[in-house]
Amino acid sequence: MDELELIEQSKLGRVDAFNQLVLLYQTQVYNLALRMLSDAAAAEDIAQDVFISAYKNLRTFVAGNLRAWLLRITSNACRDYLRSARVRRSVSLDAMLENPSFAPTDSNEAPEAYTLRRELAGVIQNALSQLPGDQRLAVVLVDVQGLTYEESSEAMKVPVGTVKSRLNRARSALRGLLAEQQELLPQQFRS
Amino acid sequence: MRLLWRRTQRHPSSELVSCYADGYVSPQESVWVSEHIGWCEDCSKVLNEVRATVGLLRRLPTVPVPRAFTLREEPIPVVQAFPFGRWAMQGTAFATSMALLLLVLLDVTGFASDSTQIPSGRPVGVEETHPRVLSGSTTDPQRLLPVADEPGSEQSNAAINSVGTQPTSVQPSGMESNLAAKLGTAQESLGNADGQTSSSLVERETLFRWWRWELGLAAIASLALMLTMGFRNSRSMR
Repeated sequence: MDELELIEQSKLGRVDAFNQLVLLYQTQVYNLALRMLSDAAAAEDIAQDVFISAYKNLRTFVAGNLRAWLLRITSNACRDYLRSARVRRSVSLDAMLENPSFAPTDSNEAPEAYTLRRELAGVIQNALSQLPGDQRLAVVLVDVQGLTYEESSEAMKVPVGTVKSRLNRARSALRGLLAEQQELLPQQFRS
Repeated sequence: MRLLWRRTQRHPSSELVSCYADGYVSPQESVWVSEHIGWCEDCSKVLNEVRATVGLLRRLPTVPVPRAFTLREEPIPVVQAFPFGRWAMQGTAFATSMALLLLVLLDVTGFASDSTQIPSGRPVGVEETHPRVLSGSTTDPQRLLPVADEPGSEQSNAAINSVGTQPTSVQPSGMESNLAAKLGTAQESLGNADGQTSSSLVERETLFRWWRWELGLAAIASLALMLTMGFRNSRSMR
């Protein structure tokens, strides 16, 4: 059963068809929430809410890119969460390193390599969390999740030109933030 | 000479360099930027930094989900899409809210019942505007016309004089005629027109008028609430 058919079946109220769509996109939805919030527990709650909300409102999805639609719901939910919590998400590097999301994915990975990867991921995530929300969303969608500019434009509900400018500003800011911690970067990324 | 020409050339913007790193430039821009970074060290450095940053971001691992986010098999009610789009829904909600506000104001200020009030502020009952409906012994609907329809009758003049402030030449409104007809029909169906006292009918009519307003308010308030809830549900879909 292809995606369009699954969508049509889900619109008719078939939960099993919708669950197949959930399995297709849950990793991207969860990772977007995690990168936006830097909080695994909140990202888990947001991801579940996104799929419940998507199922309830699937009839409003007429046509287009389901992934971009789901990511748009996710980004809106993250924005509402950050707004309602009124918490400045300045997560420390130590807190990021304690985050279970950076646990080793490969059991054969050498301890040194795992430590370096963990530290690097912590540095990058810490830099990401210091960006303004709209710039963070652009850079996570394009550079982390690998969406095209057009898909990101649909997910952010802004023109492609806005995606380009936000992405450029985010990358410039990240360059400055990462340059401050060059000792933690791999050799090839040091200037 | 070539060095002088290069120094007069403008540099590509950082946004263009960023897009160039992703391959999102037109063929003309691509040729220009690639030619430019061939000799401009500053722009070449910017491009390398952009590529390094993107390379770092791509190294962020994809975190596996802690659990499946699939839904339970119990059916969750699916929200029906508003047929005319979000803006129509917002407009309808706004118009309904305004109508509700207007009705509340009319109700609070008493303007809505001004046309049926005597100067003292006491609501005019059916007996005062349609005395024959209440005091007459007939149940014939044709006889339940307002007294002003028969300008020569003594009962008509007596009734108008009893109101005191209403001019004798005023014709009854259509609403009053309809109300009289409805009350006459009600009396006919009950079959006890002669037995009912005029005061109970006045109370009933006043109660009916009051409930008509309150029911209208309640209906509009319910509609406004439903539309507002629908709008709230659709907000996350933006």
